[in-house]
Amino acid sequence: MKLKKLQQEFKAAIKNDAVPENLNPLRFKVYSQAYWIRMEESLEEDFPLLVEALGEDSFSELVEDFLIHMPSKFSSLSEVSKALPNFLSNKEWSKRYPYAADLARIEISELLSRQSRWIKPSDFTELSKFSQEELLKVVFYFQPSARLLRLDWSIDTNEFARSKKQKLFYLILKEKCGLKTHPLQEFEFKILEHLIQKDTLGSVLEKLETDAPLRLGESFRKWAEIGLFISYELKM
Amino acid sequence: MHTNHSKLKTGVGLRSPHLDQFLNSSPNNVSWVEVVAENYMEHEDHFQGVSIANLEQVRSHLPVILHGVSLSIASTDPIKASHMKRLKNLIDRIQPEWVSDHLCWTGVDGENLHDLLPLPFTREAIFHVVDRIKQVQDYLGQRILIENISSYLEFTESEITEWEFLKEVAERSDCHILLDVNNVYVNSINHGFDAQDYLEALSQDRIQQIHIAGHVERNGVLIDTHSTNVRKEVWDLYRESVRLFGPIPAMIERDADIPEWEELEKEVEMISRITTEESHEAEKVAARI
Ligand SMILES: [Fe+2]
Repeated sequence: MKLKKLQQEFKAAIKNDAVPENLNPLRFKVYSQAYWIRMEESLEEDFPLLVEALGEDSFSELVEDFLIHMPSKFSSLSEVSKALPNFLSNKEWSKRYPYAADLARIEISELLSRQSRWIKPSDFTELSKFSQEELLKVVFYFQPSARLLRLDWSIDTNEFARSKKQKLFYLILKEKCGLKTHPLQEFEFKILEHLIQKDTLGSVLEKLETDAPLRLGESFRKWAEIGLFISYELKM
Repeated sequence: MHTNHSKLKTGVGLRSPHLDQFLNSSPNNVSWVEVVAENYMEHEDHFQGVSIANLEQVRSHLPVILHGVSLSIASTDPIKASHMKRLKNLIDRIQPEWVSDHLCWTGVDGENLHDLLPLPFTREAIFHVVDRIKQVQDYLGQRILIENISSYLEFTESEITEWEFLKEVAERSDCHILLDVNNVYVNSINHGFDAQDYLEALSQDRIQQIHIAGHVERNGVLIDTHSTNVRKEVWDLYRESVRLFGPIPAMIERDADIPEWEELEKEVEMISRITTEESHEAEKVAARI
């Protein structure tokens, strides 16, 4: 099929900065240059701190490397951005900028959280009347903006090079007054990580092999206060 | 739920900086808005985003048209089932007046270059595109609109003109045309043809919507940037399209260097003015006959 071959050659030429046969080189450049500019501008917009940390030149290099190894298979550019943090965890980039993957993770999580809708939490007073046995069968529904972050770096945004290796856990949440980042204990993170997947509290505790409900009371009160859960359901 | 299409006069491509003007009321002269479908398809099945909630609010008082940018109707890849499903979900949710996308391809072999890429105007491409438009229309259960794109190069493989290609694709697939008069003008300069020939070749009953936008010149090539005011030549071509096809829902597309609403509103008013002037002109001619 001629059309398929033409499209494959056109695409390859855009990415390799070459010119397909029979095409006007100056006119073809309009397409190839626009491709790289468009992709870089879109990523720059979603990761302003990463651009600051790496500097313009390294960031351009990153974009090129990223798109060569992980070309976009997505419908929209914002989905391309979601794949960048994992790419930064690869050997070469994590060696050059060990904190960069975490920084990108923070930026994309905040962005997605900000784009999510805030939903008024329903009434939880009934929940307090549940027996211990019933509570273990409850599934919680989270605010769409809730994002859980497990980081290996404590990032110093004033001086990125001074970022320190440190295990940190966060919950990013859009609250009525705006976006907030809440530090979490490791056990809280682990519980939320499962609850957000709609596991019942009982099965989460089983998976974590802990009988920690005593310690959980305080955490759940805190989460209810910030409106993390919008509703719940008793799974029989 | 749908508006009588004759009530759709002048519209605008709704972009986030102007959202406030549209959330609770509609500015003068705007009787519908067009939005980029993909901007609202991201949250997949959940539709939990802020943007979709805003769009629903706008939709509660104003007709909405969904305009796609990544259907890639001319790609030689299979049509993406996931994309179609998400588009259909959005249609069910928003109940747009109609849905459109571009007569182009955006990628191949599973990759997306996020650009509206040109086609060779060949018989092979016609049959290929027609078959795919039919698939999309069958799946969505409605006719779609396809838009002519701006292009910066021509393929030696082309066997017919762009307008012959567009016309034949629309007729064979029984779809409508979203005529972008700026793209016609840009291509007429870039490829050296008469824009009038392009318009005259199309039939009125196929054209359901018109796009008007600004372009810039770089190194002797006109680039469709949607970043500037509409040029006089493009206004003239719009006027010509009203003469030829009568009043058709027309709108301004502005995607970069977006000005304050008051500034953009002047261009929306310009569409209304030209449409009214030419319609009166047509009435006068009709009265004389
Ligand atoms: Fe357009």
